[in-house]
Amino acid sequence: MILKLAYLNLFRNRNRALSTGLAICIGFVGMNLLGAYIFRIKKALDTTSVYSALLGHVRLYKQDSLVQFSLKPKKYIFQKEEMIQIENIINGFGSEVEYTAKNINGSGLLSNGKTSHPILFSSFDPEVYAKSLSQPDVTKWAKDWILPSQFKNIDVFRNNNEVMSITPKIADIMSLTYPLGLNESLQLAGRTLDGDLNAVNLDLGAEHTTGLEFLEDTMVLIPFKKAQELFSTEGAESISIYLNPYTNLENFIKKLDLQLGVLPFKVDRYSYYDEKINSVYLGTMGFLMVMGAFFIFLIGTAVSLSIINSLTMGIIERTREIGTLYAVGFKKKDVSKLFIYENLLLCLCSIVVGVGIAFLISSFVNSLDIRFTPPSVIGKIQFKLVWNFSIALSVAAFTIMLTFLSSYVVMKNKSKIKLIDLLNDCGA
Amino acid sequence: MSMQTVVDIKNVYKSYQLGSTKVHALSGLSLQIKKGEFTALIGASGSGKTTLLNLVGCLDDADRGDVLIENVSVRNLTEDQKSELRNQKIGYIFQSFNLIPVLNVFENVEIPLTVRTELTTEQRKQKVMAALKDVGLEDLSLNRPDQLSGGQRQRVAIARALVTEPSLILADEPTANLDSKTAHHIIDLMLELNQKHHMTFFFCTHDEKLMGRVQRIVKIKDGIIESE
Repeated sequence: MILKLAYLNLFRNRNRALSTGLAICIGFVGMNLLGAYIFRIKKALDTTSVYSALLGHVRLYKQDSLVQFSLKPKKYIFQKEEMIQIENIINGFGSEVEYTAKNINGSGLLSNGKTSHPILFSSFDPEVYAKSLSQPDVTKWAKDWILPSQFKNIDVFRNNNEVMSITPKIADIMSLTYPLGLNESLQLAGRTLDGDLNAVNLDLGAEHTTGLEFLEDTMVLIPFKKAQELFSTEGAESISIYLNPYTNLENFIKKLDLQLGVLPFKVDRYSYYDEKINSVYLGTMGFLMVMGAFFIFLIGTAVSLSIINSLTMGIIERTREIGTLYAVGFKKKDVSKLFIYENLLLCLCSIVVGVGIAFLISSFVNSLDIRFTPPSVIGKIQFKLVWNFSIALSVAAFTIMLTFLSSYVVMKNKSKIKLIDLLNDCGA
Repeated sequence: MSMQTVVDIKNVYKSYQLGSTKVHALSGLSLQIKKGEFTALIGASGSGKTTLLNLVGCLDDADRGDVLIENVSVRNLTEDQKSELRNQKIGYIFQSFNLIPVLNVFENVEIPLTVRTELTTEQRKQKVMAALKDVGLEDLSLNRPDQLSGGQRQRVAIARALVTEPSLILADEPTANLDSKTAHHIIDLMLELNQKHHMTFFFCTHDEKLMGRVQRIVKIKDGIIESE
């Protein structure tokens, strides 16, 4: 009966119910679209961090190596025996781990016999690079962010341990023949772990872009074996671990930490979103989250005020009726329930309509294929709203909670009015 | 054998602040109402009739003194306990009917029963139909209040008051908003229910034409009982 009364009360003042419902609906749609945008960016960042930037889900360094490796590479590199011990641990996780990669980063001088250019290099097993870029998540979430369209001749890079990849900007700086081909031989000079000068020969085989303006004139990719040759080592600076999609990262980290703790040497473990190895991720997500929280606060406040206003007006209009309900035996919780049900029903109707509107808007915006260039990023990315069921469900839960709380606060306040004042139609 | 006391009003005081003036509505009033009595409370405007009825109906609190409903003191009851007491023992008929406009006649009468979780839907339905039959509105159960005349609305209010089978029915000027013919019908109905179900009626009225038909008349003046 209370539910039926709540439903019928919605039609008493249709204009007010409509305007409150509209406010809830607009708020719901706004929060959904905001959520859809943040979700899309997060997934793209997750994917580019793990696969495109080759950080892996988890990356292992020797203790303090992150800061000290460039100064004392010999001390902070994983030796061959140490890598074997770590690999044994990782192998123990079975199918939780999809694959691993060893890498060395460094700096050096790139030369083609005519021009030399100082560069930073990143080195990976070409097979791992190819495997990472062909992950379904990369296609799904980061297709337009980087690669593989920006990675020319990837198959050449992947099948040949003598080939390196450079950016178009470096090619320009070094006046290399364009388009690039395998006919260009380059030399990369650097220091070994002992500090001696060394150089390795590489063929120019591929072209890539870092996606970031500040790295575009410095970052090259070389095969891991060539980096080992340059450093005169069999070790690696870090080990990246790529997990299978069903593996829970947090659980994996807990188990991994326990096992790494018993090794005779200390290891620093970083997840891909750790500020120390991925400040771009943390900065971008931090900004988005703060922006999202601010907008949700504004939207939530507007929705909440609308509900409070509508409910207060409803109570003022129905003061005597509320008194009558008390007079015939309703308790405070029964009357509160009535008004809360009223608003929750309105909220549910608004959510149902809002789901349809959010779907239409996100489909429309995506179909427009709006593209923009974020600061410091190369190329344009699509302004895309990836809206899904879990976002809708979370926002719906938040909206329902907001409606409940707003209604509860008003009812808590109004239940202090004396019954006799309610019946005399005053005091509300 | 003496009749059971349904209402025992013991030396109650009640005053209101009206601007800067303190109005003493009740000044140490005592009264007992026995089971099955049909009592009218009369008096001039401002004599304290409605205030007394509100105190008996647990709609308001006395400043001093106590009201006992079937030997239960209402003085220290919480608001929820008072609601429960009203639902179990008291039916209230308002001057302006106080029906819920969006509910039909059946639902309006059913309202007090909805808080009784021990009743099934079928039991509620039986009680509502019995109450509507008592007031002669069983054929109008699906009508909305705005489709009824004043007299019919008051009958719905009476049905709502008696559907819980309370030991006491209070009515505040139940005929004030009705023409004299309808007012007589309403009083007839109340008398009939009083005799048929031995329900105790305690109501206040201005209508002197009704006095001859009432079993007991209590006259109140300046917050105390002037005569019986």
